[in-house]
Amino acid sequence: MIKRIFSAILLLGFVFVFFIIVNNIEEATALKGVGKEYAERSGNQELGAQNIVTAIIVTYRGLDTLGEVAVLFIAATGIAVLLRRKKKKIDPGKKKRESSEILLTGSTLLAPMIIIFGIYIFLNGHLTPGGGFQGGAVIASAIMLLFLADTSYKINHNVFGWLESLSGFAYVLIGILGLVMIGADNFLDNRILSLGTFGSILSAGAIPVIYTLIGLKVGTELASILDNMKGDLE
Amino acid sequence: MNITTIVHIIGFALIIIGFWGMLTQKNMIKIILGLAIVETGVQLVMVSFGFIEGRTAPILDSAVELSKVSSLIVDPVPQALVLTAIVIGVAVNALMLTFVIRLYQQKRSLSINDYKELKW
Amino acid sequence: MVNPIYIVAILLGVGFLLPSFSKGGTKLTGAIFFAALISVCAISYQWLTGFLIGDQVSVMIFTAGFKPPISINLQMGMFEAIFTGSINFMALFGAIYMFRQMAETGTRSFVLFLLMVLGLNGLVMTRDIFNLFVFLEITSIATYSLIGMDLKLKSLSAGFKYMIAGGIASVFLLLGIIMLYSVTGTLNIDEMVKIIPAVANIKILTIGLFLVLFSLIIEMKQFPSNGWAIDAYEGVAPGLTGLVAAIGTGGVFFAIYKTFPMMNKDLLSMTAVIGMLTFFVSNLMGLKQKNPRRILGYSSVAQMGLILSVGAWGYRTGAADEIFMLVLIPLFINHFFAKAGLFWIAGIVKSEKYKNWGMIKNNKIILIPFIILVLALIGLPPFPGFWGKWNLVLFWGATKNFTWIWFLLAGSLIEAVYMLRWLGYALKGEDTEEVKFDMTVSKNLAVFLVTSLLLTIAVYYSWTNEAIAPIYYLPFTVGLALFYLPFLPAKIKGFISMSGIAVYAYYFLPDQAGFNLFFNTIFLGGSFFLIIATMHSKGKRVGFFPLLMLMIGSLVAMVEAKNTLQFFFAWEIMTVSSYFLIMRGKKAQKAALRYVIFSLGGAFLILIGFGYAFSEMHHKIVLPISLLGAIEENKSIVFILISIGFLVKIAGIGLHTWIGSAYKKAEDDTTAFLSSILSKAGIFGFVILILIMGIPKIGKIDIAYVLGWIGAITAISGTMIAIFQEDAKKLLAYSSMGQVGYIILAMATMSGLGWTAGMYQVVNHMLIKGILFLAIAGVIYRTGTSKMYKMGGLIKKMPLSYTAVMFGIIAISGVPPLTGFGAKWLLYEALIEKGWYLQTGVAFFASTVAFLYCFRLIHTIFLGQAKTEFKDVKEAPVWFIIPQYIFIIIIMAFSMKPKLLLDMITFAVKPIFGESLSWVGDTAFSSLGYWNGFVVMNIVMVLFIGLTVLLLIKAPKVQKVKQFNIVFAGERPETPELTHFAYQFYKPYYRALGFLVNPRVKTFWKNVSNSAHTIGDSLRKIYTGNGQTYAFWILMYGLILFFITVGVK
Repeated sequence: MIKRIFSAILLLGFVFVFFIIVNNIEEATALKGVGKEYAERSGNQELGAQNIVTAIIVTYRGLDTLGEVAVLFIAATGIAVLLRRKKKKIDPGKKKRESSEILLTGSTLLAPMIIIFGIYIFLNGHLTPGGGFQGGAVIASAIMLLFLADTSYKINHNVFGWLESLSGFAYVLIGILGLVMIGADNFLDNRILSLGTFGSILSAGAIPVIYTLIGLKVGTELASILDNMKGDLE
Repeated sequence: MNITTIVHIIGFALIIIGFWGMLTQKNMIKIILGLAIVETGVQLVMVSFGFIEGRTAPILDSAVELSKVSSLIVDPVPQALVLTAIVIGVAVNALMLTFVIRLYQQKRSLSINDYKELKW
Repeated sequence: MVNPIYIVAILLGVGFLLPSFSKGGTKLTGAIFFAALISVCAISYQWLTGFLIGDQVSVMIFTAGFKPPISINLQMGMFEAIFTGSINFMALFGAIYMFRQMAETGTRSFVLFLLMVLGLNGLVMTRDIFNLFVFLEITSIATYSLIGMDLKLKSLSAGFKYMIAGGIASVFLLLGIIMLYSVTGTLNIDEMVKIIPAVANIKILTIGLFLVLFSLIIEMKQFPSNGWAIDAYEGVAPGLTGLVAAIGTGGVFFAIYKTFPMMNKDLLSMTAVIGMLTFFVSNLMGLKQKNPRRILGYSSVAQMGLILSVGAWGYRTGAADEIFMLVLIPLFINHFFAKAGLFWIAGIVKSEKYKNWGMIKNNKIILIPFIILVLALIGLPPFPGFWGKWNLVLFWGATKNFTWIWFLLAGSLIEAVYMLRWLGYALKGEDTEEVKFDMTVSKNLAVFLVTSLLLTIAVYYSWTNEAIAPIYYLPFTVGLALFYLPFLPAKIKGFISMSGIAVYAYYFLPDQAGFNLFFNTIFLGGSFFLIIATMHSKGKRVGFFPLLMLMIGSLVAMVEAKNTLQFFFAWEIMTVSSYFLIMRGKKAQKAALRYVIFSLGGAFLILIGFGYAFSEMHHKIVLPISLLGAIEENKSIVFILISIGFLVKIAGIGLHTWIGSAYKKAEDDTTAFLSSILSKAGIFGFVILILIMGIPKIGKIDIAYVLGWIGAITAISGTMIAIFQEDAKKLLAYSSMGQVGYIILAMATMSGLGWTAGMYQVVNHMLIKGILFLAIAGVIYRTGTSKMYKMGGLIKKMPLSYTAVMFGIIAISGVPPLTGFGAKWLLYEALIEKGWYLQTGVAFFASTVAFLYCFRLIHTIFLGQAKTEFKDVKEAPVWFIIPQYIFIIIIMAFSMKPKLLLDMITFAVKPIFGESLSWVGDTAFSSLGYWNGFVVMNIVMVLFIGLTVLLLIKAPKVQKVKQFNIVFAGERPETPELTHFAYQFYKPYYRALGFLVNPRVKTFWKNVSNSAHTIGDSLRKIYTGNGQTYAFWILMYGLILFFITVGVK
């Protein structure tokens, strides 16, 4: 009880702080700073990406995104390390009940569509809302569906592992290509490939490639997190 | 009161709610959920900072005239930042849950009060 | 130069790819892992040398082909090179240390490790605030994963608390960043710094800045929002904690440092205060710890507090770059290597109680790095921490931030207490069975690498310091040389030491004059002869001679010192070497600790005194000692502080509680050095101080008068305490205290006669205490005890020692004809001349009381009845006897011809105080009387011989009586104890005067220590171990700081 009272008092303090903040925020009426800069540069089709947010994420602030991929990768790796199995012990007496036919058929029917939708999202990341992370998450949701529907479903660790590793490595390589092909200050530059026609699917240089790699990586990573957490631990 | 302010208030309210959960719940999973709510609140506050009333999304489709982009769209930067923040939040929460799984295996308890072997 | 972006690319690329090779086994992946780390180190090394040796200029690396603020950019400048360099090299060492654990866990742990290093490199290099957040998260998440890696309960629960704290910190960081973006329109730090002054919405700006700063303060583990960090330091595998304590906090510090240019003055002041508070309080809380890893945890937090405070302070005053190079880098490097190394050693020695660390005393591979790292951590010379603290005192002194200096040194002293206590257990603790060592080669290799690198840096710092010329190291050379010759027998090492002293004498003495010549002669001459006694050992005495020579060398160096830095450097070396010398005694653990704490306390007071003196000097110049006289403003404070420092060394009243136990517990021949040589260091300090500064007055109070009384009271107290001692060495210890008191009393008169008396007493005391301590050492060597009442009747067994003691006590008690008479005569003359009659009375009384303890030395040890257990003892080894008789010859010479000595003293005193003694032949005339040593000696001789002859003629026939052929009150005693009244000899006096020697001072210091421990103990109770409570503290702390800095306006 005392804990609650103290917490309440403390949070009242925070309410006051947030009140000050909300009270002092000045409504934005025009773009300024880098936001404006990005808008103008995109208007000039500098990177060839229709989606300005994508241009920012993949190229202008590409290092952030590389880091972001790394964060997810670390989390997936960390979870795999933490949930590593010391020995596989499957108790035959405790077998789970099998899923029903409808559930199995339905999920196997849906999963490929979901995956294709995910691929669609990351392939169109430079044109429409979406991108590698969103697409990857959608792909992982297909895997999750399979896990939920079929208790005995197992992912192919080899394929997933290689896909995860290689897509990440390829992302770094594309970054380095910028250094090799253009110059020392061009790490992660998308203009190593031609910018193509503005608004078409094969445009915006390396952005679709990068987003594809990110999509694959995020999808496989989230799937392996799910796989680890699914837990036939004990 | 305009939309931005309302979203701000909702965001900050979520932060307060999340903190309340973190400070009062004993169950570690609930504490993590508290943190997740706080993160959501922060993300909401972040995007609303880029919002400009009456403008469109920062995508240069037919609705946006290329020569006047900067006067037609909302600020794209907070949106880009929020994406990163969300992904990082997900990663942290997943890892925290993993810790809880392992802790639970050690002591069969989810109460944070039971994990005080290190102190002073 | 390799583009530093490749650091990012290599670590990430290898990190991503490595899991694909896991089928190849950990040998393959381990090899790739190390290849990646080494290549990153190579890049860092290239930049590091480019900046330090070459003329590389700072470069910006842009990404995506755009300039900031459009894209994210990295910077590689001098500071970045130093930080990434140390992070990468330390990561390599850490990887070596943790290799086995990681290999067992699998390839994925390598991946986590690489990405943690990546995060830290990014954190240091990036110039974009949101990118900073990303790298911070990379570092944190990789660290969390590594923490939980061993799946132990403690690691997991510590990791969970860590994550809660980290989660809250990143929430605030995000909020802060977006608010800053909303008002500045940029995320680039340099751009923000430019825009901030023009921002209109100050409120949002300030809150944004505050949130960013507060978030990083949490990450910096500042008090009181740091319980989770300390728990993690304790609970997590030491390999990782060592690494996190070093590179983790290093990276985060650099991150917060980067944001300082944006901050306003209020926020910077707040940060400086928070840091200093953390430094002080964490050290205080560290006092009560028993678990080595938790001790290190508190110490880590404290050090980071200090570094944070100094960094903020640097920006606050606008001297950021200078402070960074001169203070922060040394402090950081010191903490970096020492803390990692100590954590790793704590991982090798598997014990959760530092009391069990006695086991490592026989394991040189662990012990030597441990000693080095502890000394480095405390900030003793020549380690970088010393230079950092010195420069910091200089800066703070120059800007008159005296309170900060007090906190800095008080915190440092407390840290020294618990670290040295731990070291004491390692050196002297009892062997316990339960402690096991993990002698894995890779772990010890990592510790070795860290220690050697730290030593290299220490040497680099010392050699390149402009204020200390290379020649300054000459006095230390023989000590260091002997360190590498442990296999030689003690006799040869003793000989080498004597030769070394002869060389120093040859080298240093001819150029000197005045007091420098006088004291150097005493230090070198006295040591030269005393060393003969140390050669009695048949063994090797490993470690003894290097320490002894370091101590003697430091004394010479101290005399040689031209500036305050050299003086303080030598003073600290002297303190440390004498500490280890005392520690060599059998049960010396507590005594040595008390000694070194008092000594360090004294040294820090001297340093604070210098700090006050610096306020009037330009801070870039190391203050020459001679300029101490030129200061005006804080003159009396400077004088008092430095005086107290010196009074500690000579065990002035109130600061004397260390002397009895230290002198008693040290090895017997070491004690002779302590008393006859080392105690003169304090006197030399006073000589220099008074000659340069004079003795100032505060208002109407003349400090000289106070000092005189301190001397007088020290003299009487030392003497009074001495007479009630049962232990011969303790008796002599307090006698020593009393005798040195006279010197202070004499010098306080500030007259030629007084100083002549003082210097005369210096020589006298040096010779006498040499004789007495060595004679007693010989007796103890033969009897195995230092308790006087257990001895008795040794006159027949040890006639030479007896004769020496006889000479010694005649000389000490101040009766004619020996030198002590001259000393007292001059002293009384000087005091009366000055008009200090009461002090004369006290001195006279003390001198008389001194007879009481002198008598005991003869009566209880040599006279009376021989005890049965000592019936076979022989004369002391000739090695003890030789120096005693050399000193006796010198005393005889000075007694017969006082002019020999007095001329030397007059030579030094005369230029300052003018002529005080005039000579007609062998007769010295003062303003009050005259003294002819030769005549006095002859008269006494005649009397002595006359009386002896008379006795021989007149005495009846001598009848020899066997030991028990006597009867007391009708009883026939059967044991020697019954015939020799020795125990509590002065009990009757004690009944009358005992209240005078009640251990009030001891009780006082004990109370000081106890209250510090109690405060520390109650403070640390806020760390309940509950992650939720920690979250509460963090939020609460944030709120409080918010209202203090932002909310009020």
